[in-house]
Amino acid sequence: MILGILIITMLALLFLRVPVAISMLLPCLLYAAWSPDITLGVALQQTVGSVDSFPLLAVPLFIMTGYLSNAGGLADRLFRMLLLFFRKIPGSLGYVNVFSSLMFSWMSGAAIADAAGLGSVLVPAMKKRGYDEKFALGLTGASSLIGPIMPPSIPASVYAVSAGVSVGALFFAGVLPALVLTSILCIFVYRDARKNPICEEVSVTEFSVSEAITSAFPVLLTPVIILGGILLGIFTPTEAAAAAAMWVLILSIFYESLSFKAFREVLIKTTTTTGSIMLIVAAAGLFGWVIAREQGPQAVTEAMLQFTDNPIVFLLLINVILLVTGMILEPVAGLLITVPVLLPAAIEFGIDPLHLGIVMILNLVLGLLTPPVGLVLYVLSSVTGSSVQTVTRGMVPFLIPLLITLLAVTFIPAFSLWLPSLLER
Amino acid sequence: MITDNETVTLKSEKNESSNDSGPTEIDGSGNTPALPLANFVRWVVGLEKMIAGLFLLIIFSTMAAQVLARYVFGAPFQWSEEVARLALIWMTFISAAFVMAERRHIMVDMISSRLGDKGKLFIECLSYVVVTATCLLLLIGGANFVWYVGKVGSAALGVPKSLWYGAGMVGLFLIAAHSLLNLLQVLITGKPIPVETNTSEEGFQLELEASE
Repeated sequence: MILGILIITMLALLFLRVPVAISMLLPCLLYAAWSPDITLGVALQQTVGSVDSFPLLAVPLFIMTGYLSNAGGLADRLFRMLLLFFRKIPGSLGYVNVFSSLMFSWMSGAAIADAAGLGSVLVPAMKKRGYDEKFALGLTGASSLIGPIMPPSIPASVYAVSAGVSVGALFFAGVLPALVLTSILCIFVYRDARKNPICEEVSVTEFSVSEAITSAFPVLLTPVIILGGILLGIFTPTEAAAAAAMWVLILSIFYESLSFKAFREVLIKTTTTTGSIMLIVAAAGLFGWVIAREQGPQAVTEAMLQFTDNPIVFLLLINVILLVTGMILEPVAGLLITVPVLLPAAIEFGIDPLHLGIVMILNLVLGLLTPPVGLVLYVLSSVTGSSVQTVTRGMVPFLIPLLITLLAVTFIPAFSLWLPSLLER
Repeated sequence: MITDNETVTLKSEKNESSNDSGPTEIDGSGNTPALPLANFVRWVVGLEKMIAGLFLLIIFSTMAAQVLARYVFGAPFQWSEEVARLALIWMTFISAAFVMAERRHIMVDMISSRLGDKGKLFIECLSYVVVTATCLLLLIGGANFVWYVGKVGSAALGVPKSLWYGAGMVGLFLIAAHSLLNLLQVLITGKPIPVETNTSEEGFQLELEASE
């Protein structure tokens, strides 16, 4: 009863365009003020306390790494290398699109930077060379989702803290699913290239292949520092984030002589993005605590068990719930609202929290490509000048590879659990 | 000295915002003259950005130093983790404040985007009222608690815990203040405060051949 009122109030506030964090806070505060045995002081303690976490320190540091690698022109080095590498293959720009997303995802944990960067450069270039506009848009959007799945990933860091699993393990859990998505997208590019073989050379003339590889090599060490450092136990994920940010900062100063002004810009952008994410983390701490106090997870688990005792049906159900959530909410916000409710039920069904994490992230990021609040749609539309409708229509055929990936990752736990199991040994 | 620096950063920010397309409070008022309120808000936002940036630098440098201390000097710090966590709390709540001022908090836009101008304006005002009320509720309700934990020292540094929860108090106060100021601004000008979305700037900057 109380639980229902809490959740309905939260949803009502959400739809009234109250910021997500405040929509979660207000019902919980009213609950705390109304309950005889807890005070608003406890509410403050829960709110501030949930930000007070060592693993969460990785969030601003990874966000900073992403912005720094852009300011230092590091993404551009990878991009030029890929352009040279694929120039003779039919469908070259399609492969460049997919592999750029893959390589950018090693430095950045979000989809937006990737979609905006590749959208503004590759989509016009692909159009000019005779690729279908919708294909170019759809491919850019779909491949941008590699970013939040492949480590370092902001949603993965947040999920790990919220679910109480190791950030490092969850990072490794994301590697194979991201590669599965990459491979399926490559198959799509290959199919398109068979019908429509375009490999007109892009003039990146001033470089030879070996020069391009040499110039990109130090940049490619960034994921090695992060994943290798965590794997070998040299760093905690938080320290790995600091080390990656430091490495990218050194490269940026060395290559582009990053100015103080540009560095200040990076700091401000990072704090802005972090501020909007972490305030939700703070509010979600209290929200999760109140939900648990009102036996919410037990209620959900019981309801689910009454509905089915089959883990496969349960996972399908979770997919549906999360796809809808992802259509309305930004991924990190969606995670923070659903994890406290779904995780205990999933554990009851014998689903590994790492596996659940990857399934949840995949589901929620799909919402970035669907109306009404698909952020990637709007970003692509604004950087390419194509209408939101065109972008959306371009996205439709790519929902198939994305859903194939989703189903594969949902029903083959080994994709997400095999690498972390190696880590434990 | 410090105030000089602040005005310098503020001025440069003002220039930038008029150069790029990113709208700030002022741009939204368009043909109406700039309110003194808007200048004050911008001054506060500039200050908050600087402080949040400093906290980020503290996080970055303590974490980098922690790794160096352990592997290069073989003497791990006892205090670095706690400093970084404290800095993260302060950064979170200070940046949440200026993010509020710029209306960049994550919101659900499904219904309001279908409303007319008047409906949108009404929803915006309502949302400011809710934000202000929520923050004030937690602020007033939590004050006692912060006062009480002021006597408790933290594990490694021994600084009073009120410094931890105080960050929340300061942040909530600033969020409430920005929300109220935004509300006043909307009520005076009758125009919404534009949401800052310069997505093209967010993207990786890549180059293709000159002919593009």
